[in-house]
Amino acid sequence: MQHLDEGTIHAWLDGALSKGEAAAVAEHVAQCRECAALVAEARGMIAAAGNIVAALDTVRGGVIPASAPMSDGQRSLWRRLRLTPARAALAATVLITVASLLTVRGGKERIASDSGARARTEAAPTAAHAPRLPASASTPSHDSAVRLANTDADARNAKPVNVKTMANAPVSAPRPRADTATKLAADQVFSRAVVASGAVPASSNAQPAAALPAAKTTTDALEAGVARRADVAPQAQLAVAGGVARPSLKSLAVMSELEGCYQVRSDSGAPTVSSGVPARFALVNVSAEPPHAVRAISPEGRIDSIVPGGTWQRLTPDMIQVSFANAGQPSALTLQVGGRVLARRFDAGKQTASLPVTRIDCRR
Amino acid sequence: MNDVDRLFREYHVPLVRYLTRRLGDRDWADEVAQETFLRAMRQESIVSERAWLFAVATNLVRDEARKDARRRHRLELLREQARADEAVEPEPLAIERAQEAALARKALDMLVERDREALLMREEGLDYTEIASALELSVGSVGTTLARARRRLVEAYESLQHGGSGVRGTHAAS
Repeated sequence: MQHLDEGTIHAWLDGALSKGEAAAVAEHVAQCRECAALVAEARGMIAAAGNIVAALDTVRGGVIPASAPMSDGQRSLWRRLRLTPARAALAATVLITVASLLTVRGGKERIASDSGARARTEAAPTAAHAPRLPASASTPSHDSAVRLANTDADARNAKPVNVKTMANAPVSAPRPRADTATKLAADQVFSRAVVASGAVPASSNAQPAAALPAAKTTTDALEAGVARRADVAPQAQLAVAGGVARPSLKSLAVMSELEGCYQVRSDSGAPTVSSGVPARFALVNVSAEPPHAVRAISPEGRIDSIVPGGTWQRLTPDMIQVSFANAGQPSALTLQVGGRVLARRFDAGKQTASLPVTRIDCRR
Repeated sequence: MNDVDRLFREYHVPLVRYLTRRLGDRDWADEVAQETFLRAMRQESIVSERAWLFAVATNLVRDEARKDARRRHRLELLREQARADEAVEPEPLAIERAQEAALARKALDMLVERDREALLMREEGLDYTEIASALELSVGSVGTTLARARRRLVEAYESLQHGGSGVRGTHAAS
């Protein structure tokens, strides 16, 4: 298969390819380091462009209501970190090296891809883009890359592998989906580039089936070293190289507040958009690097196994996003933190609804 | 057409946001959105609603922009001036945001029209088919268009951020 062109990559990330095409792209990306880097870069571009567009909304007469002023600590994280959109994009292209020790439990992690399908005919060699990338595409890290890390773990080989950042599991652009964006003030939006550059909102309609096992692997990778009891193989140890921009210590510290168990109540009135979203889930913050894994809650109220494809991260100081990339309809919950009760927005494909989400007690 | 109620409920907000981002002027955006919905009322049936609305709005913007870009620009300046006069020591944060917004606006204006529209539509959640239909592109070229738009926007933003006024590229027709 030829290398992917930029347009195809964006189409893939935007969930605009057919299932067969997407599978072919996923397969190629999993094997081609160059294209994986382009995918990472594209994610960065998508995120950065979305942030820039959202920044427009602060214009006078704009449509975004003024939000509460933020403390200095939260202000313009992007700027404080001297991270510009392009740099973020570039940094996001950098692959992280993960010394991953894989525990193999059969070859089931292999992505089920439609190997017969080929990428779109417009796919063309993209060597021209390669020089944009840092020379060593597999070493340094950007934290946004980290959180996007999809272990391209070749489970069958059970050897240290390079995790190809963001190679698999195209989640759609983290475009500040309109209404979500209205909640974000400019600085918040910008700091989101740090917190969520190229990241999750899995709102694409055409999430390739391949994404599921990949995401599973990812969450495992992120959890490894802390949550050994993950019941899905393989587990990988994350060794994150120094990043260009990391969330501040402060922001990392407050992450732990958000850990805990949550319940989505499908009250009457709420459209039935809950497919793919468990009624109860636990957010665990075992790794300092988002996206963090989402775990299920057992009937006994105990934090249980990882929800495949489930990740969460903090978008702004008072907003977290929980994404579920599994099932046919990728969805994302945006939780507005407000005391004990969390309000919510729920995006599943094109559907949007408000669902009450409450914190519940549970135990490990 | 009773459906207009529903159309309005569903699409007014994103359409106005799209137009505001596109035009940098909420009042103007409201006007165009209103005209768009008026046209929708006169329409017998609309197949792809969202694409149709965005296409009509986009065309209205283009037409109007062509007609009186200069007058608009002058009014803009006047309005800007008036606002600046009204402003009472805005908070530093507000200034900072306004600067970011201004930078984003400049960067966006540096894109060619089609790229800009495609990107803004995508940001409103339109899928590739809808964007293709609204902008009369082939579906296959939407990815390329968006890729180019995103890259150029980010590059323009960054060069503005660092280079001040010494930016390459020209002010695209708006």
